[in-house]
Amino acid sequence: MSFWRPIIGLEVHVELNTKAKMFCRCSARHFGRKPNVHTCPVCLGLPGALPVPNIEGIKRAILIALALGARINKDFWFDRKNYFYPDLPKGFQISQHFKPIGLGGQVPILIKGKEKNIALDNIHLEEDTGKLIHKENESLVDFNRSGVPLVEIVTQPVLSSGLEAKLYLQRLQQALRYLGVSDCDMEKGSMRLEANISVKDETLPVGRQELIMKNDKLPDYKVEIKNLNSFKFVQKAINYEIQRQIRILEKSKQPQQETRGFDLKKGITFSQRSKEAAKDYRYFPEPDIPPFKFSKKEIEKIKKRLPKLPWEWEEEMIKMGVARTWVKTITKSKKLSKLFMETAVLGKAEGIEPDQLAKYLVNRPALRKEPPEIIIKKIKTDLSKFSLELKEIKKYITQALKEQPGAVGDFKNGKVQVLGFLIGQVQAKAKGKADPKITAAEIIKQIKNGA
Amino acid sequence: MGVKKLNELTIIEVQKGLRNKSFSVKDLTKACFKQIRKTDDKLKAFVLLREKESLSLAEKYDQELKENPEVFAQKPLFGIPIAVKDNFCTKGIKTTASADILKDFIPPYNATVVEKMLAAGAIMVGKTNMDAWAHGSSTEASDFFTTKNPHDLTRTPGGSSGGSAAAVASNQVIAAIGSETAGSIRQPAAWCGIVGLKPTYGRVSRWGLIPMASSTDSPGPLTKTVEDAAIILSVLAGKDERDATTSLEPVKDYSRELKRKTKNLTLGVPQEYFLPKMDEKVVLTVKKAIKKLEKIGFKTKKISLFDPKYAIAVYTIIMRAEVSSNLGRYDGIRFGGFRKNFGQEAKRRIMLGSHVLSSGYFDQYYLHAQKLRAVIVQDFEKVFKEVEAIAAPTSPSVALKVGKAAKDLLFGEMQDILVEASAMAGLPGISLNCGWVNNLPVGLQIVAPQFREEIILKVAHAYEKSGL
Repeated sequence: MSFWRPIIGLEVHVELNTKAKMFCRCSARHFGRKPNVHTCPVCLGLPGALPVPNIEGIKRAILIALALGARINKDFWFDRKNYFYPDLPKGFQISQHFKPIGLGGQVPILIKGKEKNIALDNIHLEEDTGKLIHKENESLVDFNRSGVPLVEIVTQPVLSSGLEAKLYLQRLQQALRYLGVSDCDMEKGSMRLEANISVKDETLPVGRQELIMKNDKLPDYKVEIKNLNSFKFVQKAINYEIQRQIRILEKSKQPQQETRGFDLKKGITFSQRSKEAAKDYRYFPEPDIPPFKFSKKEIEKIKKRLPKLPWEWEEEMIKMGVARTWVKTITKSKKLSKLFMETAVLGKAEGIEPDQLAKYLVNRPALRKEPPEIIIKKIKTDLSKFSLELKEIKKYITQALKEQPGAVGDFKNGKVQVLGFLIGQVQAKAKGKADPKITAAEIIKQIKNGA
Repeated sequence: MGVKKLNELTIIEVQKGLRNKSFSVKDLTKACFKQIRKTDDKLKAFVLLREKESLSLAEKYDQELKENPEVFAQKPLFGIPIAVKDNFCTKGIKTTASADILKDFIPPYNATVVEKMLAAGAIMVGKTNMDAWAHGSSTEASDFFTTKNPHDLTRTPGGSSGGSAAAVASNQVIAAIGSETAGSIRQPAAWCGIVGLKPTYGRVSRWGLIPMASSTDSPGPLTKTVEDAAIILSVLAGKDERDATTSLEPVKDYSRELKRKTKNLTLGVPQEYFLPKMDEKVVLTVKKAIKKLEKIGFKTKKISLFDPKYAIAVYTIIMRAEVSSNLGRYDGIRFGGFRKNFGQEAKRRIMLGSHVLSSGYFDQYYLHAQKLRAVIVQDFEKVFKEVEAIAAPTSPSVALKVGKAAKDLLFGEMQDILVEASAMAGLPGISLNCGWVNNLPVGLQIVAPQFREEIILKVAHAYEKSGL
């Protein structure tokens, strides 16, 4: 039996939310705008127009690199990536090839209860292209997006499943949103994904696996899947693609090196264009923009802009005794994390444990709209109302069910409305302090378990 | 001076005349157009003329001068009719780079150079012919027609700023703007017997200049005298927010610098720049000029620089690599004609440039050339520890006959062999007339370290003032 190891790398493009474009001073807002209103000679690629870098864009790219633990290149510069496409007005894209802003770095994820660091290859800055709109008999170009700053985050080929890819992407999106540098909105196209997938046969003599694993050599083909516009589809597409490649490999054939798309309805990938050989972009340093040198001091200054990152919030909450399930939900947004922390301080004085607070914030989304004082007040009222502990509730239920065999029988026969009567019986014993929701659930459980 | 026609005057002479009310701006502008009408059928320096607009602006300026006699203080080029090479974008005015693809292109913006010239009071009478996309050294590569040398109509004016050089040399205008990637200002200035100044790379903004090779393109003036070049450089030089490669280096008042006493400057004379196959009479003329520089007080010193043939190799690769990328935008989608309308020379450069950037060849060609370019820069730095400036011939020959370029694919590189190294190093250089061979002008070039334009202007001015 062969052991097939999927090898997956992800390329994520995120549009920075700077006011101006990357190389001209046009507005970078393009979503839902009238076509070609935010354009100038630079982003239209007119003769003699020159790119002038937006320093804020560079700083934000550095911020991303710092947040993801990448090493900032002492010198970095822009390169021209030459290719022809109607949405690329200059005939080249200003990108970074030889010296990207950030090298390495990692994104921590939690997969099946285990922490794993997804290693990054590099983080670089480039410009977005225009947008093609295809109509029946014509294709139109909208250059509002041309020149919008785009940061590309490239992983090493270290992911091994669709789930891992999804978790990585969620984590990355979360971190970037915490940084506030991008909306990361897949629907609006401010976050775009590409996956590179290949599968390796690692059938090895018993006992030699470890030895060979160290000597990793990538397969000499890879399949690129483009235009994946949701995390769910990424997961599905990758899993489908892995199986497709395995089926080919099992016939002792090699999958073709190509670009594939994903059919949402059928849930399958399909060939878009084959690329037998690597494309030749004829990269060379952009002569119109001098190289950059950021001093340690300047990098430190940017570092000061770093907010607390989701994994740092998580660590803190777990230390406070909050259960992982609650932590996961709360840290989904920076706003909620902040609200939790602020409220937790107040809660402590009022005897409300962080874990309890977290549970309330997760289970009652309406509470999140309130200021900390009100949240605490509401929880306190709630707690005093139904302050009975689960153990006690269980005890009263057991008693009540014993006393009311008739009602229990009715319930078993499908007369669910007797549940209310049984809750009332428990509540009478508990003097109204049992949480009705919990009580109801427990009653059903006990009856099912054969009370 | 009394015998000079108005169009033959220099900037300084025009300003004097206007101040003294000896003539009006309109008289001057008319005189220029009269000369253009008389000569340009044969010379073909211009691709576009703006007679009506120029005369009406001249009238306006005459009025302004009446109201404000001190206008020269704010507008150092007040009322000066100039020509602009057609690779500088001019708002609402056709800009073609003498390329068929752009024959109907009307830019919605001015090049910074144009903006500055106009703001300084210059009157742009027209746009001049050039080798298409500046790919050439004779204007024969223009997609429209060939400009002729005013000193001999069977010869070329040099190029690529040949139209601008011919216009100044034939007194069609008082001064002109050109651009140099490697030789395109200095070589036509030498062949037409005028002054051509290529500033340091990054001294003058490239915004709106249709690029040839972005890492060396430098706009600069073509003038009748060194003093005039200094006036125009003071107008053009400086940081431009629209060109990231312009320098923050403070701009000097170059006209004032000319008047300051020259200290004991030592000029280096590179032996390698007197090529074995060079026209002997040109060699003699330049050597005589260097003797004369000694006579007027400069020390000279024999120096050694890299054989200029290496600069040709480096330049050929880097320039074509950048050209192949810079011409990528002419796809005919947003403006201009289609790719099939590229001329032969442009196609050759695109092919060669794409090749040297291709994976598998990049290291061998482009990267290698860049390394050698750094070595050339160091070579000059070493020499400038011993001397303040370098004096050498501008071109290995006098103006060549029309038709020669077509027979030699590396014609430009060979004609520009003596200016390529300094262009690759981004150094400022000036060419001025230093004598005649067979009734054709010979150019002497002075080169200085980066951002030391005042040195080359001073040396050239001292030479010019001493009388040939």
